[in-house]
Amino acid sequence: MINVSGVSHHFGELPVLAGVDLELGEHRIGFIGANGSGKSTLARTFNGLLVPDSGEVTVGGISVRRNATLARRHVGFIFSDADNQIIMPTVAEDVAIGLKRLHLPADEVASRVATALDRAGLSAHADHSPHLLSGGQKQMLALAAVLITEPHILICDEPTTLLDLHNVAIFQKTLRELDQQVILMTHHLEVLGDFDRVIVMEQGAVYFDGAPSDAVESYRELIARRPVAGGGFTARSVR
Amino acid sequence: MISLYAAGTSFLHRAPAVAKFLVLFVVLALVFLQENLYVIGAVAAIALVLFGISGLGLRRAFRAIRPVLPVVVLILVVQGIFYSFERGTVLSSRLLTAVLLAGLLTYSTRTTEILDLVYRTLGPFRRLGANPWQASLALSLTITSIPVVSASVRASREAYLARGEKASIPGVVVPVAVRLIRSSEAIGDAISARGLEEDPRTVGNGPAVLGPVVDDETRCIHYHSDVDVVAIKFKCCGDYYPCHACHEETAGHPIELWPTAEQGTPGILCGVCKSELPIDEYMRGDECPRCGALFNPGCRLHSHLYFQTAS
Repeated sequence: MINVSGVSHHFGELPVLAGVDLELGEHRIGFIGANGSGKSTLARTFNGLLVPDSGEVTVGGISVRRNATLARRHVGFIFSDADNQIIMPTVAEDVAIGLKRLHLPADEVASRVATALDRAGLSAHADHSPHLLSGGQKQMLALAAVLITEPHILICDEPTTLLDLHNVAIFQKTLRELDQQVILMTHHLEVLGDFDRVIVMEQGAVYFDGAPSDAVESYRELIARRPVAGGGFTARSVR
Repeated sequence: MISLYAAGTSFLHRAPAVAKFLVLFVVLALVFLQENLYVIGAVAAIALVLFGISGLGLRRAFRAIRPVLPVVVLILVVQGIFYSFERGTVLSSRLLTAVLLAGLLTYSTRTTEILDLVYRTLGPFRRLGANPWQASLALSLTITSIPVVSASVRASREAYLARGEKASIPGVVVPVAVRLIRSSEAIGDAISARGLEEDPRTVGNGPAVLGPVVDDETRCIHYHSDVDVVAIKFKCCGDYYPCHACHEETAGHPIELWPTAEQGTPGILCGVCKSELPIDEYMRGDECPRCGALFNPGCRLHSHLYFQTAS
């Protein structure tokens, strides 16, 4: 359970979160909204990557502001660019490093890593460099590296942005099978069909909060009302 | 690159990293103290044989020495002109042999093992302010980042070519540097998000404890004296909380008591040593039977809130 209470934040003079109050207890929750609406900023407050100017976020009752390290043990985080999540030179080592703090025997680490790689479909790449994997495989590696630490909650900040449709489907299926609470920030609206709750963010605040189909409709209407700026390109201007 | 490690099951792969480092150190010292070209040549030959029988192959041996070949030629030429050709041969042979030996180590040893070795070796220097965990993590990131840097250089050059311009060195270096700085911020975030920024030795282990915990020994906002160092696994959800009030405020469901018949199962976490203790064992004493940490005897007054009791 994540509790967000009166969370506000500014980047310089620009307000990016404006008094967000949420109780996030459902199994799978989606966040949608235009670029700059505050989805990613809010996601980063859930595990202390960003400490908001005001307000409080608690994870399972733990204050993220007071004890981010402890909160992060409960919250796994997947970023949109999997390349930036790679820390170790081989796939197996990148997954295994998450188990460091558990001080497990080497054979137990090897067994857990093998299971995680198998679930991610990466067993054949255990000793390969992560940078040789495809975009979809890298994101599955990021997922395996996070899930091996058995977090209670998984935050995914636009994890499918750089993936093709096939890999989006694989990622979606994997998320669906997880026991953990999943909170997904996304622009792929079709992924949210079977979610329990979808929240639309607009200008740093909650614009709509409800069932997936209603939320998506609300978001489409919101975007349709927005004027399209910019003159576009003409053949002459390109020349 | 990419990992230097080449998977295998040979004796060289199985040997402990520390043993390989020690042997490398001793043999390198021998090679660099040695003036006899035959002895240096014999060590190089042994290294090549090891490449062969460990399954690494001679191609990898060549790949290891390829980057230093221009340096070898330079040494030969400079020493040949200003000193003697024999001297140049000895110096360049030492270099080639050293690189071959180092190649054997890096190709047969996982980066994790090397990092563990660095971590353990730097351990005694903690009291001098050294941070072994950050040092080993930095080493790993350096190795891992090499392909990222080369991909960034390639992308920058291609961006110039796509616009019909020739890439100048400053024109490539500046955008690459900017991109790497941005990327390093994102990698820093990922390290934090994965809980890897702190030394695992100093970060508590054991199962997660939920609720408004205030430290790493399971104290919470309700009970936080010196001896409040146990967490209780709740029968209803299987999660550890420091106390009934934490569960009540956080879990969102009522407490289910542990039946008497199940009180032999591990359900108590010692916040000090992180041992999971059987409930009945915990109930028999006021200290951790594993590490001797004192528990709060007053907790006994609340046992009916967690466990079915005779009364």
